[in-house]
Amino acid sequence: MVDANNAQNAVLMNNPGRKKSKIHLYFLLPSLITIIVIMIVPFFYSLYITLHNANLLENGGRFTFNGLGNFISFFQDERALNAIAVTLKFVLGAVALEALLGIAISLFLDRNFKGKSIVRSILIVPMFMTPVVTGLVWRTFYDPTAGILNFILGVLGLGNRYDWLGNTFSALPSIIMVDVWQWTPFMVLLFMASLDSISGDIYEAAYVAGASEFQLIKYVKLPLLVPTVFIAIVLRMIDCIKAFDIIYVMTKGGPGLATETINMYAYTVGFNFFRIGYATTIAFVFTFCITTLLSFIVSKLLNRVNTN
Amino acid sequence: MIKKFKKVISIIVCVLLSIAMLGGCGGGAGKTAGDEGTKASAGETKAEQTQEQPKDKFKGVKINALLEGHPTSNALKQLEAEFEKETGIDLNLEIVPYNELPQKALLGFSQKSDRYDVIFNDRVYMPGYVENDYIIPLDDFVKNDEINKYCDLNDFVEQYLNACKYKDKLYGLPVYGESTFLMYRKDLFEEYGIKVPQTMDEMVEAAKTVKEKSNGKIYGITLRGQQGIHAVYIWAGFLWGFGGRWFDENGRLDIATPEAIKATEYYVNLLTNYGPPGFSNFGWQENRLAFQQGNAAMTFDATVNGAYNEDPKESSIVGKVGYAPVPTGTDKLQGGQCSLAVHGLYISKFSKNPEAAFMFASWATGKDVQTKSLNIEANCGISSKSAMESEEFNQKYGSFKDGMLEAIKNGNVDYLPSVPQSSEIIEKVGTALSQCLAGTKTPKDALTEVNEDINKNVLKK
Repeated sequence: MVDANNAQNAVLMNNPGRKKSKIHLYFLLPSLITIIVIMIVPFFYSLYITLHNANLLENGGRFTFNGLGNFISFFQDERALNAIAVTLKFVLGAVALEALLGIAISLFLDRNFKGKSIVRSILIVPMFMTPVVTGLVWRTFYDPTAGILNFILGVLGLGNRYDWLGNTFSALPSIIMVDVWQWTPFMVLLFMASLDSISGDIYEAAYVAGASEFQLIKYVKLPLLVPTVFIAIVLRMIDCIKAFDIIYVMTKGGPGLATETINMYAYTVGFNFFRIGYATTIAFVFTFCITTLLSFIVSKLLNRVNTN
Repeated sequence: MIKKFKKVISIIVCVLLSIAMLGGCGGGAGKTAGDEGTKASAGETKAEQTQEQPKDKFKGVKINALLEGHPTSNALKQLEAEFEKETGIDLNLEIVPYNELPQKALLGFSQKSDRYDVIFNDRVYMPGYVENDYIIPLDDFVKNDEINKYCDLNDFVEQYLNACKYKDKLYGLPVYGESTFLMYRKDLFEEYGIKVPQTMDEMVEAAKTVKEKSNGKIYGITLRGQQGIHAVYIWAGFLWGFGGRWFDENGRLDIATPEAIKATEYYVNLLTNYGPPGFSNFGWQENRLAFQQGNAAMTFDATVNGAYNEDPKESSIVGKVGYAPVPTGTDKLQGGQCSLAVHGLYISKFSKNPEAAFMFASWATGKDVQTKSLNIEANCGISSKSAMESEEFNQKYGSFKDGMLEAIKNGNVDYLPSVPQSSEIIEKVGTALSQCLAGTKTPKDALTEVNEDINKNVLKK
């Protein structure tokens, strides 16, 4: 088979005097420059900031060198610890629910019925809403006096004075529900596509072997779904860790610190207290931890998937 | 030959791609282009300055103002064209919600940006601005006859003007001022036989009576409880009212005292038992609406709410509201229990046209504009004495004018902390209050913790 590299080598071998062209390097240059300017430079500048005591309200915004002081403060900071706990609760809660619901719904929809494509299209709608709009709309749903949720509960006789977003017990679950509402469709679509790609031969073999619906799911569909589920979980975890818009719009991290994720905390420290140095430190440590953790998880999963 | 041709083409394509990319980043480039325009026109007008009349002195100069979401700002937006016609200055007014404005202003200042010439902000941030050299004193401008035609310092309410001074220099022109008072439903009090509360005990009794006699349909009292500046603004009334204070003589935070704890317990108890559901998300707007719609018999909030209560377009309780001073919990007050909030227009140190900026600031706070704004928006927090004596004012706001003036007279200018770290202190205390309201911490624990945290880590004393 002749591919691009082979072709080039072939040309070279036929024309000994001709040099291997470096045109592709020139084409790389614009994007390389962009990446350096937009990503590498700010990255190193942020690293520089984390080593300084940078408070916009002191010294007219000038930086004073602080060494590793910010990092030491971070590991002693109770509020940061709480923020990490909240982030973990949010991510694990949301992703687990989304995965389970996604599997259940996609298994349920994995049959040919009239209007399957319409159902698919309707499912996509929540995913397209901007997080800010989603957050605002759900905030009105959750409103204690004017919200539709309390109204429905009242009609059903279950009491109608619940303060969903103002109660420390229900605030984080309420936000998790919003994320689940918006992103379960993503899981469903992914899993439906994966189920669709199961070849008909397997179904025939199962039918011949006399498998019931339940056995079909347990021994055929679920095992074949596993790789997709893992990948979907990793993708959603990355997104949930980055979640900021819905939390900011719905509770701004309140009540108290019940919904303050590490992202929100970094924002508050940076844009409310104006301690830019410390805020950058929080963001840095967190990004570093997450990157390490996720790389570890992904490599482990890939190994398992590949050996399976 | 062909090889060279190809090389040239590839280089041209690369260059074109780079230009396309930079064009994509044009959003940022657009802003700097705008600033260039300001510099250019300022350069032109400087040449004309010494010869022309004050009217054409600033022709074409662009002034950008960062304003709070407020009736005054809305009125200014509508009167913009008048100002541009009179002075030739090109105005650009940007209105931003009150609790996001300090961040936006501070970010601009720290970058020494000339994006905004005039900032409309609460005076609690003024000391921080002055200490860090972000705003300029206005005394010289006031004396400069070429640009002070709209400025009349004697027209301002004295307390407001004094609040805008720092270390004996004037830094801001008061554009808006308010205090706090108690608003109650006269009709409900008559119906249930309640007397106007003067002490905190009487207030909680009154709230209880209302709730019982209306079978829980009408709440005793509604107050702001939203985490952050909103809860702190109302809680401060209880802090001072029970004899507490923010700082001690050495500048350390002093809110873990028995008085402060008692005040917090009272506040939490009042809202939890007699307040409407969802109070933990009540900012100024939600609280005002709850009272206006007749959901509660009392509220204690800013004096400007009076204007909304008496506006038939907004309120369903017009004419039914009585106004009284905020109750006290003890005789030994260390400072007034009602606020003296003053918001002023400040001029950025990095503004390229400070004199034109001063013209705008003095026009916006001048008696003409303030009187006109009364007819445009429900705005009773004006700072001009003559506008307050005007007929429009008395017609619209006569019913609570006395209560308001009384509150302003007794207003406590230190009602909120006004050190450079105000923003952080208010945020942390706000979080502590939210935890108390949610019941996750007792007032004693929450206040002791936040007091220690702020003294150790923020004020470093």
